[in-house]
Amino acid sequence: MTWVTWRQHRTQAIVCLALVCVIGAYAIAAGTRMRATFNADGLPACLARSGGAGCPAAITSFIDEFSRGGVSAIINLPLIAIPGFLGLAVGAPLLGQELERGTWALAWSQTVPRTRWLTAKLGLVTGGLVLFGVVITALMTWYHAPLDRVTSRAEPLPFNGEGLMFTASLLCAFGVAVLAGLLLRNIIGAMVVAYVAWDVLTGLVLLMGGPLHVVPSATMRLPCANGCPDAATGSALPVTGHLGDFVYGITRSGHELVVSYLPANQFWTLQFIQGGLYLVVALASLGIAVWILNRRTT
Amino acid sequence: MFRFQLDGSSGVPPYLQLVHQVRQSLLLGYLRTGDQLPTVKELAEDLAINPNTVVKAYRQLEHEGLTGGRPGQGTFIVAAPEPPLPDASESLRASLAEWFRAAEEAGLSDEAVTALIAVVRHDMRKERIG
Amino acid sequence: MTHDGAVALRADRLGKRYGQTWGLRDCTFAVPAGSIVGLVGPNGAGKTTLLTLTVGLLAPTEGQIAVFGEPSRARAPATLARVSYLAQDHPLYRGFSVADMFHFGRSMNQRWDQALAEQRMDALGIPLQRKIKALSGGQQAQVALTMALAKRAPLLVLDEPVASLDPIARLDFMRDVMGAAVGSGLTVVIASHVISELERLCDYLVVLAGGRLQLAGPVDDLLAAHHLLTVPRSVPDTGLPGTVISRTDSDRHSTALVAAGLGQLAEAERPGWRADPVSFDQLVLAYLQRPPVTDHNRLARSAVTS
Repeated sequence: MTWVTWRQHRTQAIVCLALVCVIGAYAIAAGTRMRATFNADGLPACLARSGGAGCPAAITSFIDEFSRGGVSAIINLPLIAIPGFLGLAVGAPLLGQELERGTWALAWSQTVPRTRWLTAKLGLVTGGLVLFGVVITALMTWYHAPLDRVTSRAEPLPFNGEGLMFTASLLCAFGVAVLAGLLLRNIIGAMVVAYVAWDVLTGLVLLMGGPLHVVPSATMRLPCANGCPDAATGSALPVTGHLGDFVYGITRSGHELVVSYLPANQFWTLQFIQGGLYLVVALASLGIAVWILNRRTT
Repeated sequence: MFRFQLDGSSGVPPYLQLVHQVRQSLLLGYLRTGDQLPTVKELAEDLAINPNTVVKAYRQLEHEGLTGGRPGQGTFIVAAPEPPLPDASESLRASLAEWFRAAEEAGLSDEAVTALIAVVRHDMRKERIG
Repeated sequence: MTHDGAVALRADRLGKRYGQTWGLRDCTFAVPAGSIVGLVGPNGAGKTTLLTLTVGLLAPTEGQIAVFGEPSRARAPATLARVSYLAQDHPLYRGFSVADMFHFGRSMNQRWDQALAEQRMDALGIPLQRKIKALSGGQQAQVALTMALAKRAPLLVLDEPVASLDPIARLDFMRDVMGAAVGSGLTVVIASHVISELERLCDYLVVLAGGRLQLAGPVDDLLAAHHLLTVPRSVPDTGLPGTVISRTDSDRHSTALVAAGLGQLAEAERPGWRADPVSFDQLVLAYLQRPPVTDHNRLARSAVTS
């Protein structure tokens, strides 16, 4: 089954390799440039000495250069789109194409029973996707490391590119597409249905992290001595006074600013919650697909 | 090598067609004693027919004493049927010509003659079975 | 060639239900090893259902089907290894090369005769590196057949193998199947709805219609057991020997295809009656057109014959 799986997914594997090369090239180039500026601006020393309190201007200018604007937007969209579309493209034909083209009658009448065929294939392809996800995540993490020291990792780019999210989102799209392919016996239809499902799930995840913030969040009350300023949540240095905190919202309450924020050290908790949701859906979809294939008599 | 023909639409079972072709070729002299017939595999592949059909035809020919041979060693013509004795043939030809003249005088058409021959042959066969 | 004794394929009250409809019901027959079986029936008669049950792609709803004594169980490797299956429209992976397809066969089967596969391609003039989608329909069918033969299973099942092929490709294909059958003592099942092609190919016949078994048995025995009777119009069915399978009435005479032995024929014969042998086509057509035996008419039918 190893050779068969490889041969059937060979093109997809090559595309993934190409993506790694492209993303890797960009990440290495941009990351190197970022590190150069980071060091040139004297930020490492400043952070070591005062945790960022001593060089707010340098930090702000650094963030402005590398985080705001076109550069981050370019990479942000692919980071969300790639796992989705790649997962669909790999998952929908896995069963969908066999059923649509009738090659299932060939594949499942050799000597390998269909359940073993599917589990072997899923194991290998999932492993390949995980490897791809881990490599991309590693590249993104390395690239973004300097910024991570001065901004919150709950920002879209680092959040979707580091930790579990990229791989989990990829596996989720994959799992849902495999199941859709089995049920609909059709590649395009499976891609459409799976895309809708994955979109809904992604929307839910975003809501959870955003307005709903189901996630572990903390609240801080800041007294304002001379009238409370209209503080924006989007300021480079979080009003909580700690680099890396992600501020959700600031409201005025009497002579206090009530700040709700995600503490920097909650990054992984959030990753496990949101990434975990994706993974649960992925595993459930794949499990259901195997179960249905096993029970089905046609 | 002797090549066979098969007519799928003739209504005659394939194995009988094979037997007839051998008999006919023997009468015409195209097959002679010692000639080898194709193997079962060769014939099945050549004509795209069931090998058992070939086996049946060869068995029939062997039963009629026309062929012989051991399995795995091929099938050979062992005896050509004797052509009918010239005397018998000649007298039969004469009586047949006389019969046709009588039928023509009685007003029988060609088709009526053919039908009559078929009926008589059928009755004779029945007599033989029953 | 038929080997005495061994039964290659035995169906025992085999049935398959899809939702509310029965695709196949109450199917019983036994095929001797080494036979070449013709499975005939109109589209939707249950041929593909019967074949997929045999191969192990489908599980029966009732009854069972056994290949060389072992019941076919869906998806059991033992079942899958015993049968080579060539599905309708000979599915292949179009992006693969011929060599890739053989690699696939080797990976997915316990037994695989790579030498046979390559030798056949060589004989047919099909390069191993060519992509499947670049081959003609006839060549693709040959590749699919090669894969089935290289699996070296004792039972070969072909589902309408030549339906989409031109006449020359058809002939070449069936030549190869016949040649392979002789070479390896294979038992072959060929499903088709084209009756005329099957006469020269099969020595065992299974006729399906409406999901029911209409007729099954060795061709020679079946042809010997049926006759075409020409009788006066006034003779009723009950006055005819054996079972009347089909009857055509003209003004003064009727022609009836009956299932009757020579003994029964001899007893029943009257002057003016005529008995002729039945051809393969006539036999199959008569049984195809006969209303399928259902539980309703089974009793009525047996009352007539007894």
